[in-house]
Amino acid sequence: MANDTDLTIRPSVAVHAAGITTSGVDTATASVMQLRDVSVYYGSYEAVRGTTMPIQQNQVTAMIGPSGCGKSTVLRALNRMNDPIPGARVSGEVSFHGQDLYARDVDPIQVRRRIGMVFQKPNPFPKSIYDNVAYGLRINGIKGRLDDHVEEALTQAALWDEVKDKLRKSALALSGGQQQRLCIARTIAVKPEVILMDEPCSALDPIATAKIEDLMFELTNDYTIVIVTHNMQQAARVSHYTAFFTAEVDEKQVRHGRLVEYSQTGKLFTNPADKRTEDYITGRFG
Amino acid sequence: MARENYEEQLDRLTGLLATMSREAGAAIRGASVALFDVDRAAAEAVVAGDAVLDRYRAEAEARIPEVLVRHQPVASDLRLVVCALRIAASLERMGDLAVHIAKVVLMRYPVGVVPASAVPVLTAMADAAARMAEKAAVVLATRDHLDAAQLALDDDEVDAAEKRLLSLLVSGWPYGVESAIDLALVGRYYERYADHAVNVARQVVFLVTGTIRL
Repeated sequence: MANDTDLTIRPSVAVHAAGITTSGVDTATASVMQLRDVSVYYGSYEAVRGTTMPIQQNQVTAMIGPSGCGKSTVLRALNRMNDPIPGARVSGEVSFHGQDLYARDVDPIQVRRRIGMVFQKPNPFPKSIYDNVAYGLRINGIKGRLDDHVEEALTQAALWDEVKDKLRKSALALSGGQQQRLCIARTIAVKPEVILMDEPCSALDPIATAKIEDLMFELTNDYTIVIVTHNMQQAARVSHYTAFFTAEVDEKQVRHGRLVEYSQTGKLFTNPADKRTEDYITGRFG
Repeated sequence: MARENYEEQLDRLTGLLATMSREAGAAIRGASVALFDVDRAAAEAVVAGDAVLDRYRAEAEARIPEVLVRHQPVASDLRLVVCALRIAASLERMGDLAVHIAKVVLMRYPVGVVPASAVPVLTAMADAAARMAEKAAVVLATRDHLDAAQLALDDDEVDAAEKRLLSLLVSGWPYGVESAIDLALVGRYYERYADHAVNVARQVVFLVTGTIRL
């Protein structure tokens, strides 16, 4: 992007397209991002069709749905992670503080600094614990005392106490759960506003999972979180809002991912408005 | 396999409630026969039969936590499980109230509890209570929340009858204080029974719609 002010705060207005149930949504909460009629294409194939939903600030939004429903595709569209895939294209509007993220003058690198991502499999760099966290700070030219920034990020990621005596050791020597928290520390070190998490606990044991879930809750003080998860109990535990996606076959027998229902998590899991949501979450899908 | 087991457990819970609603209806009809016909055997049968309702309620209470922990039900399944707990409690309590009426009959036996002048008003209460038990059982099976909402109207009838009964008892009641107390209690038992039937119906409304109507 030409200059950083392109992504400065502007109020965005939540709009809801017809056909999607958005119930129990507290409109008093500000949305930091807004999807408007977003479709994602891989070549001529429309993988996800017409998604409209807000991402509420300082809240956890969960995206759930069966395999192939497009939830990860939509998540990646939120910080232009689909860009490197040949033929990938987004229509509609993904806005961040009112700014269209896919506008011509927007630099995807800057987008990803403001909207970070944590992946399914912990993927630390084959470097020291310290360097993993410092890496993003260095390449972004963040000023100030690097040590302080590293400590702050590791503390926020609830990892500091476990690694403070071995910062120069290889990150690869950490356990899976620690590696994932290190990846979260690496993401938050560059002070993004939004953290996208693509099944961040699916490779972790229940104790490590519980730590990450607790951490998500803590992180909402400073960040907005969007998580894709296959684990519905996890979505119910950690999120404030839940978006349910499903895959539907159109008149030409082509499958598309679709947002079916977006609402407050408590509402979605106790009294979903759409029968497709009910069938999926109660396990009567298909 | 786990899935089948889950469906089976939910079905069993529904079946349990259906049986309990039939038992609760039989109990109030038996208690009314005992009351109006001064029928000792009928009263004793109501008292003895209550153990069945107690046992079913205990069974529901044991099953529900297990369903919660093993299957983590959500949406309408979750509402069913939560409502089942409350419905079972109401149905069991309805059985207790029928027993209370039967016990008043047994306490005074062979003397009858209801003098002729109180028969019309108490009959109205007994009929309405039996009808409500019947309707509660039906809406539990059909899950028709509009029918369920109708039970509140029957309840108004019972409340009005209880008022009439009480004014009868306080305006020159010729049969003594003991009789007045018996009838005031019997009236209250019918009234509470009807309230629990309304509660069952209200739970059905919540189960179906997911919203609570007061």
